[in-house]
Amino acid sequence: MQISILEKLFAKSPFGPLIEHANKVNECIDLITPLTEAWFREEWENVEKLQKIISEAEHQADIIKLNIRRILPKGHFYPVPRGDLFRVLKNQDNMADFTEDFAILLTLRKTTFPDTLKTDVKGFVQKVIKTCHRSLLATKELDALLEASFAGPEAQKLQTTVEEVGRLEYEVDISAHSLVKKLLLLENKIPTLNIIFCMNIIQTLSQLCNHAENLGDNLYHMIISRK
Amino acid sequence: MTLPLSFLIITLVFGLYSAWNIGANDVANAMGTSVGSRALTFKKAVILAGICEFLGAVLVGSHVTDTIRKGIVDPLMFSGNPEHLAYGMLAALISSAIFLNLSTLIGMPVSTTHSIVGAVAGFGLIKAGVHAVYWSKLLSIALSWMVAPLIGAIAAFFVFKFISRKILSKPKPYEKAVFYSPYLVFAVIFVLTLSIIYKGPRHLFLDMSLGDALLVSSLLGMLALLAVKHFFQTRTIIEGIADEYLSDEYRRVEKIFAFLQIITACCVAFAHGANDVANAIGPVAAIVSIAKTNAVAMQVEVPIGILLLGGVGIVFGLATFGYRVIETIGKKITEITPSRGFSAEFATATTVLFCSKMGLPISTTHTLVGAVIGVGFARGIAVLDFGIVKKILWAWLITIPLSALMTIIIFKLLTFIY
Repeated sequence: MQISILEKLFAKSPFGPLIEHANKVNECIDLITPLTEAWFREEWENVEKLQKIISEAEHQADIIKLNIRRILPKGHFYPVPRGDLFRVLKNQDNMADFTEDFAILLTLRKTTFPDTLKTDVKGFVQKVIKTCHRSLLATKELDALLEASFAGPEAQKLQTTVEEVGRLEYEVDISAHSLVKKLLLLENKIPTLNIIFCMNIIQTLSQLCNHAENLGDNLYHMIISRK
Repeated sequence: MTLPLSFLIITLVFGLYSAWNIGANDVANAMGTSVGSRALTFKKAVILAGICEFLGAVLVGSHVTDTIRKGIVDPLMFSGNPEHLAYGMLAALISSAIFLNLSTLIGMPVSTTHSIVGAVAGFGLIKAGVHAVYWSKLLSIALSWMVAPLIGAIAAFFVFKFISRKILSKPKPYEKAVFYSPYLVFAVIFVLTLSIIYKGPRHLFLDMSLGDALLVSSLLGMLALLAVKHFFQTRTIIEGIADEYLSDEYRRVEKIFAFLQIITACCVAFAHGANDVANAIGPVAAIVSIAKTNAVAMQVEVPIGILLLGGVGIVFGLATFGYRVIETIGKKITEITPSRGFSAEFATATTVLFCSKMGLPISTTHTLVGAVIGVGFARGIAVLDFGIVKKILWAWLITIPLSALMTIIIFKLLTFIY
């Protein structure tokens, strides 16, 4: 049949799957709160269970990622730079990976923060989660952005979100900094290995946030690049 | 010598078959974007396509038909033996039909238009020599095959840019859509009316001068504008199109474009009928006029009966087979919303109607492909696969020599039989 011409002109849109991927990554992020609670209550079995759920979600996100790579061939024409689509995907992927790393870290050694720091850590974790949520929310706006052909209030909204993510990430950095400082003040009271372990956790979560910030920057670059 | 009756019957059969082919395969491309964007349900699309294709064929089909029957090869070169011209035209008809079916089998994006033009030119060249072919006309046709998709792309780019700037990227897109849609309807109705009444068929008293035609088209456009304005003043669209990803406001905006796209879908079908009916009945018209006068006649208008035959053939193809193709293609093209479909279809219909008036046989599908790409360049479509463009160019290059060659073989066969 001669129907092939028009039908073949339209390829599969990467935007829907990118949003699907963001949703999966969001699932991982959402599990950080219960995971942290279980960890502080030292319910190690629960920690392990939650880690398994996160790893499973991360794996599903990877499957979506591979599918997206398949529908982003070089010859196709996109309304945004193809490289940016890949970078958005890569950063979302990294966010899932670091969430999983964090969960795995918690299962490796039965260690928690000293009681005096627990409130600080909780606040830090909440900031990390908020930053990630905000940046993933920006990805979810991609469909509305496409409808508005990447201009107008929708684009403005994205810009605001991205700026907010940048601000949140800065706050996370400050929290991480003060947290590490406080931790090091205790170096004579708790075992060194505990300190190293706790610092590792802070570092992993900070890196998770860095990728959330990069995601926002990629999304922003993606829509302003072809004005 | 007079043409035998059997020859005339074969001509009519192949003319009908060719029109059937167009209705069965090509119409789906004209309607695909409308069904894909869900502006039209599949059933409505089939019915509207049938009506508009028929009207286009009957009202505007004569211009391109004239080109096919006497604009590519000089009929006067055959005044000594008019039956050779008749054989040649039938050969062109048969070969284009065979060629189309073959290329469909192997999945090559061949255009009916290209194959019939190649066939007619090929036989004229061999049978009556280099001087028989109107080279300047043939060149302008070949150029139009490249220029039409390009113009379609540029027009669609600007139409969509306009919609994007003035409506979609505004803080209150729905209000803007309500404000601008009457003007968009004016533009569409103006183009459509102008194409029908400017130098239209004389036997329907639609043969107006440019001044009169412009005036009448503007008036009709204004009427449509006022009607649409009144429509939106008396009611608000509350329920938008069904699209899980879009916000409520955008769904309502797209609902407005879904209305507008019904009009442009009709225009594309109309334009398609106007341009492509000639591929089937151009040769038939040439043969019938030879049979009637027993000589090559230059100044005869295309008989309305033949245009009707083409229109009926297309509708028949649509009703027996084409409806299924529309359904399939509509299901596969889902990455398009009515605002994009409107832009692409408006640009396509305008380009194809303009070319039809100029007597240029062009491919509606290729023009539509160009228009969709134009919308893509205006950042309107998620992703486009340009691989098909390369395939179209290849098919384009291969079609002309091959259909010319096949025509010559069939011509020899026909002269052998009769």
